[in-house]
Amino acid sequence: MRLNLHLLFALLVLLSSSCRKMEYSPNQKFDKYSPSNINAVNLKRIAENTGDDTIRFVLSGDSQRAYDDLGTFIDKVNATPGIDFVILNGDISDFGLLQEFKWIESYYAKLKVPYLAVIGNHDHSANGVYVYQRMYSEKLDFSFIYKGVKFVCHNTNSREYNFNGTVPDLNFLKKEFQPEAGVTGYFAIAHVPPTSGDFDSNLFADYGKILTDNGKVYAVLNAHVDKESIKYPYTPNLPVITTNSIYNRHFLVVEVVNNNFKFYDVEF
Amino acid sequence: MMLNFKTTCYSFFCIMLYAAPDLMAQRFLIPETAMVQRAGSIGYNAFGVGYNLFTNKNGSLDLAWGYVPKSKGGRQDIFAAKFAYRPINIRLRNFGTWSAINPGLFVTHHPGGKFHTTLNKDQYPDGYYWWSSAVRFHLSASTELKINTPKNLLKTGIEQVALYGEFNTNELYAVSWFKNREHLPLRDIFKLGFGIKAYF
Repeated sequence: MRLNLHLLFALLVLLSSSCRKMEYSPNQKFDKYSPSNINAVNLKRIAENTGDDTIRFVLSGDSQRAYDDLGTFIDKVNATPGIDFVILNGDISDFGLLQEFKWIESYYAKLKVPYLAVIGNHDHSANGVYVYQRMYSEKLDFSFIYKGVKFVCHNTNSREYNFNGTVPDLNFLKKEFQPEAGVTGYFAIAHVPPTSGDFDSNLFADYGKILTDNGKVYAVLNAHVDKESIKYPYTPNLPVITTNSIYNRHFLVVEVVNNNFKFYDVEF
Repeated sequence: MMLNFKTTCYSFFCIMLYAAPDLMAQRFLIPETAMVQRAGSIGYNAFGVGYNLFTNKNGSLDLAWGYVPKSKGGRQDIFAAKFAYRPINIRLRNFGTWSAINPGLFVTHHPGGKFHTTLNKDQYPDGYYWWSSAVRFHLSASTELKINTPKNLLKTGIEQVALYGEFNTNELYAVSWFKNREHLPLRDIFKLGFGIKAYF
């Protein structure tokens, strides 16, 4: 009887573990076990965080196919004091596959602080956009205000739309960068930098105008180019900053203290 | 290129499915097996017909259509061409045969506007993405238990019914694993499916 119970138990374990292994297609948009709505859940957690006036967050990007590096990355961020949240700034996946999103998420889920994911060009491959929309955010453009600073996260992967003039969505950005009461500064956060050939060159000027007209944008924060860089394509007051990739084992820490913005690179 | 690939695939399926039975002159087109599969990266459910290959009949080619319903992460159609070889066949008296471990290869095609076979040259520079999102190449390993049909049911035309389980991975998972062997266990890139196959 005891043996039978053990056998039954072993069989159950085998069956339940094999259920997790069953895949209908690499191009499934979701499965029974894939998480959903992570950005909304984490935005709530971010909003609940009260504390000092300092804003300190991590800008990470291009986590695609960097599974050997992600564990160290997560440990490093978790060991860094005073981080409010982490941004994963696009190219979450390499091939737009659900399994990749799940692998990456399994690491980012170990962060002690909430994280938000922004969509990258690689995430547009196959059903990647659908995977992203279910796992992270139905809307590819979204914003939130934290301690008086507005973060405008948006889709700048123009090439994936064959430069059809809709990406980045300038109407959305115009609305979001309208000066508003109680907001002391702004960040524009997106995967592809406006200086890249993958950004719609027809929208380059108008994009910059929206940001410079606002006057309170600390910086444009990007990824995509797999190296840390800072450029001033619009005005000397508007830095366009890119973070290096997870694969290259770098991220940026961005701080706003008393309306002063600074950032530094961390190697791990 | 894309059109050619699709046209060839579809016409091949059409011939297999509809033309075969009444063309006695082309007997070789008449399927020798039929299968139904759950999961295994070719659909939530997949249906196919197949052929035995080589003089020892240890090889097999299955052509299948599978789908993932919307509620399971689709809607997605999948066309698959599966090749497998059965090197170890253990006879189980009159009960049947166990093909213990059967290596295989298969190709899947995912139709739909979101998927590309070749990159749009006007949109992307050469080599921008090196893979095709519409076509996946899979490696597989299966185990199959063939059960002999009882004598009184032989007139159904089904000689054996096989139950099989199959693990597979694809080239994109393999590439992901290859560069991350320290932290991505090999078992994580293998996916499972089960099926029933009738041998006529």
